[in-house]
Amino acid sequence: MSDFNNKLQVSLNNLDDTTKNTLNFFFGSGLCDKAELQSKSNNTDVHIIDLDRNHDKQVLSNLKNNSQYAIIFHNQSSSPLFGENIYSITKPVKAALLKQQINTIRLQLQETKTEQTTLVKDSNQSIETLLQKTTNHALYEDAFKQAIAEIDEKQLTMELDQEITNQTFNEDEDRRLTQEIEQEIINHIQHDGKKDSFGHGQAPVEYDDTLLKPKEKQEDINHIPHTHDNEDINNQTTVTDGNKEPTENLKSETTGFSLKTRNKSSSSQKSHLSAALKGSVELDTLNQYKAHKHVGSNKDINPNNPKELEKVYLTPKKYIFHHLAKAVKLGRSKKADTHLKTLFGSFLFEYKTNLIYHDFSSTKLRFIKYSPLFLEASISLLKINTPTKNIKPNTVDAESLIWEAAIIASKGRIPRDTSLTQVVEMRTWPNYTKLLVFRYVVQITATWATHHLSLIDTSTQLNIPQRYIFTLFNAMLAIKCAKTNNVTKKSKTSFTKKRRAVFSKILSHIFRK
Amino acid sequence: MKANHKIIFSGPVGAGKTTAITSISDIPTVRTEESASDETKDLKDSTTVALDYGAIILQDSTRIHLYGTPGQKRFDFMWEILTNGGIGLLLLIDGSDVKAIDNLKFFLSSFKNFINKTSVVVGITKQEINKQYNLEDYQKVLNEGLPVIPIYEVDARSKKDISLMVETLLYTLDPKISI
Ligand SMILES: Nc1nc2c(ncn2[C@@H]2O[C@H](COP(=O)(O)OP(=O)(O)OP(=O)(O)O)[C@@H](O)[C@H]2O)c(=O)[nH]1
Ligand SMILES: [Mg+2]
Repeated sequence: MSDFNNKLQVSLNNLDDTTKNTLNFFFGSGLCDKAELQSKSNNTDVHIIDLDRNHDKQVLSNLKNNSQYAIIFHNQSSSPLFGENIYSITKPVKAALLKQQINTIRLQLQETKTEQTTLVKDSNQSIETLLQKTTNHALYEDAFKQAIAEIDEKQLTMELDQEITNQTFNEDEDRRLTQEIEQEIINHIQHDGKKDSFGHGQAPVEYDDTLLKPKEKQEDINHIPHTHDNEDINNQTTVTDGNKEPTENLKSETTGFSLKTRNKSSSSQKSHLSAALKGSVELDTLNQYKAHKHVGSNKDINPNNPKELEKVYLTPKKYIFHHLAKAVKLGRSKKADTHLKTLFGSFLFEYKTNLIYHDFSSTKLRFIKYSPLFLEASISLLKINTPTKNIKPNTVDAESLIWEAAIIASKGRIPRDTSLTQVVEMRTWPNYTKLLVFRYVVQITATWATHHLSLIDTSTQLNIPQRYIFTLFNAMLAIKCAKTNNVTKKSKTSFTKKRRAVFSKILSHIFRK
Repeated sequence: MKANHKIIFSGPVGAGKTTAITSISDIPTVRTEESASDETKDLKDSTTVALDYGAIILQDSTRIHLYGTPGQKRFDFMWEILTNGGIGLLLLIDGSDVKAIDNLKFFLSSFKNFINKTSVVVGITKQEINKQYNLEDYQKVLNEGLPVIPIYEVDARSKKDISLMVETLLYTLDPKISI
């Protein structure tokens, strides 16, 4: 770190030659005498980064840790960035503005020094703080604040989720999950912008239009026996395994740098549903078989062993899917729109259309889905018809969102105290043409639709790893398609084998096409 | 004896039966359509008068016959013969029709015997054009308890959607199929 009396140390991060030459001239010619260029980036105070080009992972990591400052050049079309240590300039870059920002950073560094504090990441720093620092959260929230300000006066009641705040949690689990999330964020930020598993970035993995299988791996899929060791059908694709969720393209959007052009939604209210549904279906097609990653990597457990049992439990109240489901339930029961307020921002449920409005990028939404941090959520009832008339946020079908959030949160776990031995009672079939599906989903659902089996017995009978069963159950529970129940009348657990061979061939056939 | 495997597609006029069979058939579908007359005239230009036929041809050349029943109720005498020995029923209901719920009830009861012996999967089509009811409205029509009848919103033109219906049908008949 440079001494205040010295010049600010600046490094250029992977800029194009013209910009580099211009900046060399700018800093070297006395035009900006408060700073100087360094060739190495590790010890400098400020990085200059062009958002439209690839970035150095270390630099981005340092930024996240708040140990360095950045001046970001970006296109008019990309959103400006916010963050305590991030400054942005729309291209073409104006020298005067650059100079001004350099001076501001210099003053900030001076203040920091005077206060004898460091900007180095505090190891106890909460994930919330981390996220707030690394995202343009403020920006997302602006539109909502505006809309919500308008509707606040019409608010009927405020139902603070008392039980949530009173809940005590296993601290170890909290810590573990928080670390997990932190690692995820670091992974995302460090992602090098190559092709990702969501089909953002360059060419997505080619998927067949028929059923659930990526074309290139169809052979493997069709011939994989249902054993625990063989389930990683995508191990030759770009997807990371197990707890490591696939990362998304930094260029399009990351936690720290949301470059996604805001939804220039010219779409009328009317087209929201189809757009939302279409979006989710497209995403599903891409994710279909990747999505089995969501089931995590938990090994099968012995339900009689309390220690092992603990590993497959999650606390729904800590996850967004639970609160979204509550907001939707409240809205439906009161026939009113609801507003779910969380520390990450707001969701609005529109009762009439069954849509949820939000203003998060898909990457951020993904973090939100698997972040165990929603203890502070509150739900309020709104008396309003079109809460979103002045903003153009993203819309998504409520059920699809809750479903996907429940899968992502679950990773092979089920709500605490779910009985593994009581039978699953299925109420309705999930509408799988509109929902994220993963491997074995139809098979497991068909089992519950026709037989009364416990979660454990389902796994044993079908010879499918428990994590698939648990993840699906968590999602079905969230959208109220199923629950466990002490049903006295057990159905016969014998399975007809009539025509099994030909059925198997038909399935292989439709998967292969 | 060589087994005769067939999947039956049924549903009211214009629900998408011919389209659905065409979506997944490996052979050009045989249609027996003619210009619509009488009760169908207002609904569409052409309608299936006898039946639709398509087939899935497995690797070992086994044929899975796909039969579509005529939508018009005056042909319902054919349904019994057609379903005899069938694997199961894919029931398509035109969701843009105000009578969609009644149609679902009618077809479920018409095919009651066949469904009890086998299995059924319901596909509600045209939901994106002019949705008359939500899925919950259709689900309310169904009996509680097992089996829980699968209902999806589908597009008969989508091979993926119709394949999902077939997959669902087979797994509800035998959840232990392994591939
Ligand atoms: N937009 C839309 N069109 C559909 C859908 N399903 C079917 N169609 C269209 O609806 C029309 C009628 O479909 P058919 O396949 O002829 O219906 P059918 O059930 O065979 O009708 P009948 O033979 O008269 O009993 C066709 O033009 C299809 O393309 C859907 O989900 N959405
Ligand atoms: Mg027809």
